[in-house]
Amino acid sequence: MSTLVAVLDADVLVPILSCDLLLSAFDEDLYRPVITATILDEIERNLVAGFTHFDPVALRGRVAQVAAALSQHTHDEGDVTDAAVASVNRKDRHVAATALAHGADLVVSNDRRLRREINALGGTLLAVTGDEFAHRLLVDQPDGIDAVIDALAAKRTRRPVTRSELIDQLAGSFPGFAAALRLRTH
Amino acid sequence: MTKRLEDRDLASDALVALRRRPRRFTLPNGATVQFPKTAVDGLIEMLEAVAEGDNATVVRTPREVSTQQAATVLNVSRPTVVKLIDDGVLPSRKVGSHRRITLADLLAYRDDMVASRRAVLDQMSRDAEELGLYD
Repeated sequence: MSTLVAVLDADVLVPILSCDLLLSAFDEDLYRPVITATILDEIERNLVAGFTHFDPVALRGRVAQVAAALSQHTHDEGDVTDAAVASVNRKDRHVAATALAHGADLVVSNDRRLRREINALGGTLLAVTGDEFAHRLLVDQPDGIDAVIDALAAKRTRRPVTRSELIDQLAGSFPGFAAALRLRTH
Repeated sequence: MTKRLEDRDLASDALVALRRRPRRFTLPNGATVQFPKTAVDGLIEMLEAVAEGDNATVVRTPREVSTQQAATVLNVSRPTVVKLIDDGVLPSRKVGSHRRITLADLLAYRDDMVASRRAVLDQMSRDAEELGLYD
């Protein structure tokens, strides 16, 4: 089975648990991520704007850690002509262009309009939500996802969580995935 | 005695002699041949498997891999492997117009890469807990 190549849009890497799950799944080699400097900038902007009660310096440090973890998967946006992605709104065109330039199978985004526009491009590129993506990984590589969940739970040392509690927490960003995971666990 | 049991006994007997790791073997015609150490080690491993009733097969490990194979092993794109080579991070040699990477160099690089990434992700989790991002 060839590795799934997925462009991660900023909005799936801003929520803390969503970011944790997607980066841990990558660390288990369950897929190959693609990201750009533009997407990293967007994560930083949205993280600082969305978590106003936290120290912005610490939040920027978190984005630097995301960038370090994905350093070998951070690419330029490629040479896709504007015409190929002209039907995608100008603000998010770089995401579609990156996916086409780097031969991605999927764009993972929680932006409904962007998904609709990418899915209307035709071709093999698909846009899915973070929840759909995680569910697909669970179906394709259940043992790998088990390892991810166990690793995430083990990292919570300050306020430990059980596997079941972690799945409950993940349900906020990944409702379908969490439901399928609970069925598998029981 | 079944063939499998007979094989197990033969393998056990051969192991007694081979565990001293001799390198020279005398053929029925009196000539001697010398085996490389890795071949003797592999033979011992194979005999151990047979002595325990398992099947044994030989898997050949390529000494060198292509940039595409390296990309698969590292779970990165092929252009990333080329960049690692161009930057001098990953040693390679040219065979015609193709680049070849030794498996040993590749696996050593992969181990370092995974360890660095894990360290970053672990630190990220500790920082998130400390900041209260999970609360």
